[in-house]
Amino acid sequence: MIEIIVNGEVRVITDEEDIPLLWVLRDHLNLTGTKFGCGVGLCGTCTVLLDGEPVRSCQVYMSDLGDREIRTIEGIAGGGDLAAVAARVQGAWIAEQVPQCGYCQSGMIVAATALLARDPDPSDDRIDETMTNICRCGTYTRVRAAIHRAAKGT
Amino acid sequence: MATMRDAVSMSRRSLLLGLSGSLLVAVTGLPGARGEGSGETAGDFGPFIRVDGDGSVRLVAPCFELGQGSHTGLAMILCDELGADWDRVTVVGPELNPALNVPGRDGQTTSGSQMIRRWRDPLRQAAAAAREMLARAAGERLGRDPDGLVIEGGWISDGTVRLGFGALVEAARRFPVPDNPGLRDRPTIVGTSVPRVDIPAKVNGMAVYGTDVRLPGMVHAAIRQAPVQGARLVSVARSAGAEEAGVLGIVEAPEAVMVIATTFWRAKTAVDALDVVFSETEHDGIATADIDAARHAALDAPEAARPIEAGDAPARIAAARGPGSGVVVTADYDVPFLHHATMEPMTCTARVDGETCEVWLPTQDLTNSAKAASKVSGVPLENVAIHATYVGGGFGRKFETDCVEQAVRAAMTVDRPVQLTWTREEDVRHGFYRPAMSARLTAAVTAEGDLDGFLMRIAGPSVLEHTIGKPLINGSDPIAMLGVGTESGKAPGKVQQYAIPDLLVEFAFQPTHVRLGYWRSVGASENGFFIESFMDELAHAVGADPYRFRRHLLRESPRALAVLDKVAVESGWDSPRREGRFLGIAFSECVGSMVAEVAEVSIEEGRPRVHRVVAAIDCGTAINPNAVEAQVLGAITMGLSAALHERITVGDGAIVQGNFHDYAVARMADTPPIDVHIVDSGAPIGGVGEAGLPAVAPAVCNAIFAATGRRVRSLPILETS
Repeated sequence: MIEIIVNGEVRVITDEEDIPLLWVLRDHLNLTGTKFGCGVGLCGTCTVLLDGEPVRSCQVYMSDLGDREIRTIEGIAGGGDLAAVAARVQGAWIAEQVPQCGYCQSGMIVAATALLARDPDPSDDRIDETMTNICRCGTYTRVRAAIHRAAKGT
Repeated sequence: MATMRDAVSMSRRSLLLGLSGSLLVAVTGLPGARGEGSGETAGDFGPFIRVDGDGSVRLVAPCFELGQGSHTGLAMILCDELGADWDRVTVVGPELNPALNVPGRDGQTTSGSQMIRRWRDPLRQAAAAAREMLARAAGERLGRDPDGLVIEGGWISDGTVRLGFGALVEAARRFPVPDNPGLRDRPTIVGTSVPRVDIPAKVNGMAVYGTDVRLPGMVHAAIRQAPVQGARLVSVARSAGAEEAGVLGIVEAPEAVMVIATTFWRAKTAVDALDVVFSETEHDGIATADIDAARHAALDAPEAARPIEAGDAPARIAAARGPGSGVVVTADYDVPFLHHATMEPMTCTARVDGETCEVWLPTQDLTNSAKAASKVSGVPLENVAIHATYVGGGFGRKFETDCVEQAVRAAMTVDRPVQLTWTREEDVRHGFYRPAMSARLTAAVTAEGDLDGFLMRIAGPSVLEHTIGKPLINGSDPIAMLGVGTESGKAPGKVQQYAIPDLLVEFAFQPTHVRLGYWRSVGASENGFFIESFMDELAHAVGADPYRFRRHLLRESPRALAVLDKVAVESGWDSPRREGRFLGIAFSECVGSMVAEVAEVSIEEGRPRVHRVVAAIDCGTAINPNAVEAQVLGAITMGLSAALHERITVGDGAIVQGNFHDYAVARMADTPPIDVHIVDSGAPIGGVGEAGLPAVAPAVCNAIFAATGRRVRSLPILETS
C-alpha cells in the first residue's frame, strides 16, 4: 500500500508494483486528463507537477516520488501554490483558442504554468527552449500567444 | 428463449439510447453522451436537431470533432438558420445512423476538409424546416400569420407577445415537415469568430478521448504486431520467469499478439516479454534505397498513363528544344514516406457479449468501424453500437479500422470491456503512410513568360488501391493527381490555376509493400512541392521574379491572383529585405480553396532557419474566421514539420523509426510566427483543414534557393541539404 498526495488529496494505491506515475494516475485513479503520448519522456503529453516542478510522469516511478505533492491538469488550478497562475493560463488558453484536437494540451498547460511560476514574463526564446512538448495539430504559435497573455495577467 | 430475447432487446435499447445508465456516469464527457433532452417535451426535428422543453437546442453534429472545429461551425450555421440563442445551443457527436452519411458518400466519415462544405446546405434545410414548424405553432397560438412573425434568439414574436421555442415544441412537431422551407439570408454569428464549443473541456482535462474511456470492469490490452507488412504470427511463448501478475490472457491475431491485463502497464510489460515468432515474407530484404531505385526507374519507363492532357505538350517541348527557341527546363523531385504520428496513439475500447458489440473509439469513419466490429465479432451490424469520442489527432490515420478489429478480437476472449492502446512504437511502425513519390517535370518557357508545353510524370505507388481495392482507374491513381488539376474537373489548359494550353501529366505506377493511407492533403502534399518548386525553377531560368512569373500565369484566375497579391504585400515582397533574410513564394489550390504562402528564411551555420510564414487563404466564405486561421496555422506547422524533418524509412522490409527520437516532428522552437490572412471572395465555400499544407514546403525551399542558389529537390530539407 502506498499513499500519495494528488491534487491536495491523499490517495491510497493498493498495488505494490513500482510503475510509472502516469499509469497510476490514469489506470488506478482514473485521472485521465494526463495523457500517454510516447512513453519515453519525449513528447510531454504526460507532464504533471511534483512540488511545483514539471515532470514527465511516464518517466517517474512510484519509488521516485517520496512525499512530493502531485498536481495534474484536473487539480492544477484548484489549489496549491501555482493555482492562481494555472487559472490564468487556462483562461488565456481559452481566450487565444489554443487547442485543436487538444490531446497534448494538458501537458502544455502544466508546462506553461511551471514556466510562468518561474519566469513571470518569458521571452519568445525562453518559451521556445522551455516548452518542448509536441503538438501535432500545430498550435505552437497560439501557445506562445497564450503564454504572453497569461504573463500580462489578462 | 423468451427471456433471452427480452434481454437482447433490452440491451439493444440501451445501445440505441447511447449508453446505459451505469455507463453514462463512467464516460460523461464523451461528445456523444452529453446534452440529452430532458424528457417528454423535447422534440426531434429530423436527425440533426432536438429542441428541448426548456428552449435549449441540441445539434447532433453529423461529423467527428478532431479539433478542426466543425462541431462549432455547423452549430453556428444551425443557430443562424433556426433563429436560436447561441448560448443555449449544445453539440453532440453522432451515433451510427445512415441518415447522417456524408452527402454523396456511403458512410459517416470525417475527412477531406469536407464537413462544412457538404453539410452546410442539408443542415440549413433542416433548421429552416424546424423554424417553419415552430413558426406555425406560434402563429396558431397567437392567431397570426406565421410569415409575419419575428424569429430570433430562441423566441418567436408578433411584436407584442413572444413565445420561447420550448413552449412550442409539442405543437410544432405535429405539423408536417415542409419540403422546401425558405432559407434566411441574415447571418448573425456566421462569419464571426465564435469560441469553439469543444475548447473548455480541452483545457481542464475533462474532454474524453479514446484512451480516456473508463467503463465498469474494463481491462487493458497491449499489442505487438508483425514488423514487416504481410507477415503472420507463427508462435507465441511466455518467457521463463516473466512477471504475470494481473495478466488475464494472451490473444493471437493473424498479424499480431495481444496481452490483456488489469492495467495498461501490466499488459505492455507482459507483451514485451513474450517470445514471438512472425513468418518471413518476400519483402524482408527491402530497404528504402530499393524502393527509391524502383520509383526512379519508373520515371524513365517508356510507357505511362496519361490522366491529364491538353494540346500537344511533347511536340511543343520538342520544338522549343530547337535552335533559337525558348528555354527548356527539366528537374526531378522526391518526397519520402510520412507518418501521421497523432498525439493520441491508436486506441479502441470494445465489449462483445455474443449478441451485441459495443465500441468506443476516436474515429474518422464510423461506418467502416462498425462493419469491422461486426465482421470480427460475428455480431450482426444492427447490433453493433459505436460511440465516437473526441479524436486526439486524425490527419487521415483514424480513417482506418485496424485497431477496431484488434480490440474487438481481444474483447471476444473476456467477459468485459477491453481497451486496446498501441504504444508509440507500434504507432510509428504500423502506420498507413503518405507514399514516397517522385516526379519529373519539363517545361518550355517563352520570352513572355508563358509555358509553351508542360510535362509532368508522377511515379509511385497507389493510395487508390487502399480505397477501392485496385490500384488504377484507366492506368492512373486519381489520388496521386490531387493538387495537379483542380477540384473543378480536369480543367484542360490548366495545371493548378496556371494557364498552360499544352500540358501532359503522366502516372507511372510503381507498387510498394509499405502500407499507404491518407495523410493531410493527400496527393496535394506531394504535388504542391513538385509543381511549386518547379515554377520557381522556371522563373529563375528566365530571370523573372518568382511572384510576377506566377502572376502572369495566373492572370485568368482572379481568386488565385488575389491571394498571391495579398501575401506579396503582407510579406513585404517588394520592400527592402533585412540583411541575410530571403523570401520564397508558393501558390496552391487545395480542397476547393486558394492559398498562397511566403516563407522568410536565413541560413545559419549552413542550416536554413524559417523566421516567418505569411499565408493568405480564400475559402469562399469563412464560417468562423478564428477557426479558419487555426486550421491554416496548424496545416502550415505540420507541412513545415514534414518539410524540415520528417521521413519514414524501410530496412529489412520493416519501418525503421519507432518514436519521436527518430521520427522528429516540429516543436515550438522550429515553428516561426505565422500570419494568416483571410480573403473573403464570396466564391462557393471551400475546405480549410488541409488547404494550408501543400504550399509551405515549396515556399521554404524557394526561399532557400533565393538565399543559397541551391535547389532542394528532395525532402526533408534538413536531412538532404
